[in-house]
Amino acid sequence: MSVSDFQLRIDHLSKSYKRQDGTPVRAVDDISVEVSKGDFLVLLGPSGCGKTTLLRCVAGLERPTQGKIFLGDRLILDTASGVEIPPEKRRVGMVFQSYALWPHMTVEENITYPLRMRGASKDVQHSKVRRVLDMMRITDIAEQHPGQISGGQQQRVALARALACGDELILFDEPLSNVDAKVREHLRLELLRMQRELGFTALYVTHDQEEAMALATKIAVLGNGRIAQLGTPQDIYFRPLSLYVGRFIGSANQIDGHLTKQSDSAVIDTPLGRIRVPTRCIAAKGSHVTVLSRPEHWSLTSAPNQNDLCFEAKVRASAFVGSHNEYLVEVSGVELQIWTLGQQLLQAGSKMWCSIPTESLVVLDRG
Amino acid sequence: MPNLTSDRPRSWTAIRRRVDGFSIFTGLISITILCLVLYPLVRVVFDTFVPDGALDLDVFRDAAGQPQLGTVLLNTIGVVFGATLIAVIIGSTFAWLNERTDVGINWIARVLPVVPLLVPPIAGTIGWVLLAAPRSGFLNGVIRQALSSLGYEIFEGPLDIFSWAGLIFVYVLYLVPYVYLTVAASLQNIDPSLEEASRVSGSGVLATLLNITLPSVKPAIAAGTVLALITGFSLFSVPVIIGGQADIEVLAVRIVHLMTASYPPKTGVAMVLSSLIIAFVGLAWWLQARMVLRKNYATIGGRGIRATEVRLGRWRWLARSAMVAYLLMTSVLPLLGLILVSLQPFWSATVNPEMLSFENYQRIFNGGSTQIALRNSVLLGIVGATVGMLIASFITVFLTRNRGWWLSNLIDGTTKLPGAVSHLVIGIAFIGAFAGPPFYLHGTIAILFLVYIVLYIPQATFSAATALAQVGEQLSEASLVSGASQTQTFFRVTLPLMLPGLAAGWTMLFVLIAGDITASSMLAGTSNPVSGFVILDLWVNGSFPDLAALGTVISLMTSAVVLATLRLARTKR
Repeated sequence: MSVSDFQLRIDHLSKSYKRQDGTPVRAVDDISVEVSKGDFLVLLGPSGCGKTTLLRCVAGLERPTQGKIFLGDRLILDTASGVEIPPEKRRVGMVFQSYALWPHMTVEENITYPLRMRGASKDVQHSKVRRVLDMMRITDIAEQHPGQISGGQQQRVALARALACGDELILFDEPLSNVDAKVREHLRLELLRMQRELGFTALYVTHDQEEAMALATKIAVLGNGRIAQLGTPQDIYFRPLSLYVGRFIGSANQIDGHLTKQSDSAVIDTPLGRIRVPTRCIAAKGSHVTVLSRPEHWSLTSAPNQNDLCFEAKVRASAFVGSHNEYLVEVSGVELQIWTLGQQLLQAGSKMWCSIPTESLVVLDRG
Repeated sequence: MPNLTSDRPRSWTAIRRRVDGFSIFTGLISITILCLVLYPLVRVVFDTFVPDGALDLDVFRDAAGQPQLGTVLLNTIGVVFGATLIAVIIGSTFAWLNERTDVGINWIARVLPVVPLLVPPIAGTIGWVLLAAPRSGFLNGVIRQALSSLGYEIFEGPLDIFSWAGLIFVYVLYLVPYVYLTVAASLQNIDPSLEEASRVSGSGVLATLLNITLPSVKPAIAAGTVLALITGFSLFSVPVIIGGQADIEVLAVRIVHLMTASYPPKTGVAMVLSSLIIAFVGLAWWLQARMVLRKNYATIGGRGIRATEVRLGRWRWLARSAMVAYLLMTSVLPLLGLILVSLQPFWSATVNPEMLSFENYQRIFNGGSTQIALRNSVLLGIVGATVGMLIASFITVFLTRNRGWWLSNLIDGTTKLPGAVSHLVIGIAFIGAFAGPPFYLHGTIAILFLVYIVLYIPQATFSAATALAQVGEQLSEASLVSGASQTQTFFRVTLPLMLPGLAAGWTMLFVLIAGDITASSMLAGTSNPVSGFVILDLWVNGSFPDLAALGTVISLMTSAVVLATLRLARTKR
């Protein structure tokens, strides 16, 4: 892959600042990441993990302490040589968390603004704004002020404004966190369609893992200013590389134990007995490990299942949530979450067999 | 952003229906102030226009027949509008520099709004007279010396404080902070991502400033302008000192003259002339209200992220120098002038170190009326500021909870009234209403206390309203929802969150009261002297060393209070 196939390259970027009491904080700690053209990279992590700071560094709104940033072939930041292109010259689109729609301008004026600022001719301004208004289906509210339209419409206007210039890279700072769940789901799908159709590259910050999975072609899970794992949504979900990632993404059952044998498969001693997992484990023999499993990979049956890992279990609580049933079961003093399909909901107190294919288990070092 | 505006009327009417003890209490306080402001004014209006129960409009003829009335009006408009315009430009620029750029003097952001309070206007004006009087001004002395070493010999000037430029200059010094405060508060409140979005959209620092920042803070600039106009029209200390010598008479001074130079005072004519000021200010308010109403200004803050700092580059030093120069001109320089003269046996542009002594201080602290006046001013300042801010907080909460009610509008207008009416008219109105029967407050500290509360209630309610606006409605609503009563919500949530804003207001009130001259010249006497009364007396007698010593003492005292409040506010944060 040649250099120019990257839309965005972040190279050893760090940003530290001092707290009010003087203790230094590394909000972004030596992060390097590359985003290919057309990729949708989601920066995912809990609040305070540095994801927003990283995004703002790319926009030029925050000044990194160290590192380089390339937009395509263009060097936009290099602390070593003092290169720092100001935000207005970086040519990126951005959607803010509060949308930041200027209240004193109409929707159309808001969207025209970036084009006007970059010196597009009146004709170009007009045709591009018409196109993006059309595309976002907001032509009918073009004359309104932002205070007069709904949250979902504001979100569309913000996106339209970011897209108006046709920039290659669009930055998103938790743009869906201010709308309610129904609208959020709808806007998420719309955003997805828009990105896949138009093919812009997206850098998207969120703390919502479901949103991240739905939108991303790649996810970077961040923790303490570093990238804990970078990969496709499937990688992150099915093959977490650390307990931090495994626990942050989705619901997870944890069975703690010791690694006793390690060849082509790992053998772990747990309170549930000896578990053999057919994957290589990075941990050393004898170390404390956790066997991680997803609730939906388990099944509950009335008779034991010989092919899979199987335990006798007691249902502690059960709930029907519409798309599936959720159970809390107990196996030898360990509680497991299990989600199953089916119209019959088992009652609490039922004695069942729970089983899981060993390929679905992930062994992680507890450190 | 969620559309909060449309929900507001519903939630407020819902709360209004819940009348409890606290609502009644704040309502009573508000109505008391309403009466305290309106009763004397109504009474003086009646005494003027309806003496002996019949309408008498002769006062208008008397007013129109005032000598040089046109000149006085033109002077007033020229000085106040000119000074306000300059102050708005300087104040807004300073606010933007401090809130949005890397000008990087953090202490200036805290000190600038209160720095003119360090040296009260009357002391500062006298300080500038001592610095820039054409013959004996210290600055002129220094400049003449420098010029003579270059071979130019002049015997007067080049600076002349007793001129249009000098008069406007000192006005501007004291109007800038009003604009600065309002604009800076608004800049802190607007969502910084509005400006960030503009930068990302490809517009540079200047284009963002013009297209986004300015329109967003336009209401605040308008509010600051009105505030500066009100203050400018009521300002008496600066024109009485400088305007008198410069032969530039303004309305405030003419009104004072009408009240004090003849016996009995020409209350009626003074009232008619004051109504001109009320008309000017009313027009300004109306224009401002129209401007804010016309557009839907959303001021929902972001996530408390400090806005990206604009890097000024080589302009940084220019900006810094301008701000430091302003600080020097409002506090350090006039204070230096005061201190120098206070140590001299007589005012002279050439300082002879052998003649300097503390004799003037010994004289003013010799148990005479000056000492009593100082003590009275300090006590009135402390008690008046505390009571005034508490009352203002109650009124503000009452007004916020009862928005749109006719009584609220009346109270709102009334609390602004004292700023529009010349302080002297209020003073005279108070004499008419409270000096004689049935109150018999003539020559007491109590009448001064009451008049100070009324005079400075506009500043007090303004600070309280700003403080309350910064708290935001949701925090108080959350407390109500959590089951707290209105009283509990006020004392546990609203008031503590308002405190930093209230502290600033308290300081302002203290300095205004301790350094008051307008009302003091009317209501104080030998039985209840205050510092403003004594200062005017000394100015008229031309005893500059005593005047300078008293000015120094007052300035050092108010500076100490202001700096202590600032320090307190800082450690509390």
